[in-house]
Amino acid sequence: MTESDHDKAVWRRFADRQESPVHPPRPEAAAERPPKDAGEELLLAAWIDGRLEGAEREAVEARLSGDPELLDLAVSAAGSRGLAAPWPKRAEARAAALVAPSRPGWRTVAAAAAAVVVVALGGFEMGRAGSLWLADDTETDLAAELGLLPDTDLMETLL
Amino acid sequence: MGDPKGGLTPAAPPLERAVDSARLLAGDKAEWDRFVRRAGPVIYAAVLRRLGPAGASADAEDVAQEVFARLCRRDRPLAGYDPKRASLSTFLTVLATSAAIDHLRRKRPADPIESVPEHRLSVPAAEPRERLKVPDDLLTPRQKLVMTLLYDREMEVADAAAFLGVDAQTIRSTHHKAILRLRAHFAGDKEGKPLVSQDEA
Repeated sequence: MTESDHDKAVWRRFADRQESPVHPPRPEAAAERPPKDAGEELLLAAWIDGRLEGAEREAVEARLSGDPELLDLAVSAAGSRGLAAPWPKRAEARAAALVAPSRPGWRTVAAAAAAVVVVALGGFEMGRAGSLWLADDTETDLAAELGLLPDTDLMETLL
Repeated sequence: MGDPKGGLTPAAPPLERAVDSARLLAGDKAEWDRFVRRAGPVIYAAVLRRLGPAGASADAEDVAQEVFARLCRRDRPLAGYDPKRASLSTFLTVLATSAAIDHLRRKRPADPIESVPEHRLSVPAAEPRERLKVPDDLLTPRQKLVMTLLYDREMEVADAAAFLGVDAQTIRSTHHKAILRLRAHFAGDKEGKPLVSQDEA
């Protein structure tokens, strides 16, 4: 047995006696793992970025040495840190579609409705004034055509 | 550690500067689109790097979608993100790697019992716990982590150093101190067991 094998045996003897024995990952137990929460993931990211100090750093390292699956995640994420890969446009479109365009608020809807009413009323009033002016103008033209004086009551004359 | 960085490139400047997190959390569509454009390659790289060696690169798009779907859920992790704690790209890399690992677990069929190594099937010994316990502070968390990396994950010293952000000499020194403590502890073990049992040898 080499010195390295000897050291490894000493380590295993220690690891097997821990409260939470350190073992290689057990994939068959993985399905029952509860999902990680975002706080745990943020803490791990902070550790990978080297931003933890003192007791907080020790707490994460204690967890890493006792939880092979968490250590696996940390090793893998640390290896991928700072990398990028061109991803397909269709994938980008799918991800973008996860958030729908925001719906206008009630103030915007009310302002738009008020604007429609104002425009409609304005249009109605303009149309009414236009038709009155047109009717008046048509009467004057007809009187002139019949050779009547401007003050003559056209209706009375025609009847 | 398996896959070299083939096909993957260094990410663009920090995401934090490119994303207005307040508008993003408020559900601003334009900000979400910008976030997807900038964060997509980072998430996709982390997913691809994990799925690739397992021959599951074809699933990378779907797993990246799962990450984005989680990010825009009501209990979205972005709400708890604090830029003072970690960089956004590292945070997203952790989320993406975690999703990829979960995906591989779901895909993997259960191991047939005969292929499971014996030590995984072993039932804990029925000896009293007190006799087996070792002092909690025999090794520091850092020493335990270094030993785990070197012996359980069989990492090279250089890889362990890169992972922990220290130099190789620090890893060797930490390992040396840990081994000395363990040897001293077991040399004085009242059980009188040999350091290495006949079976282990």
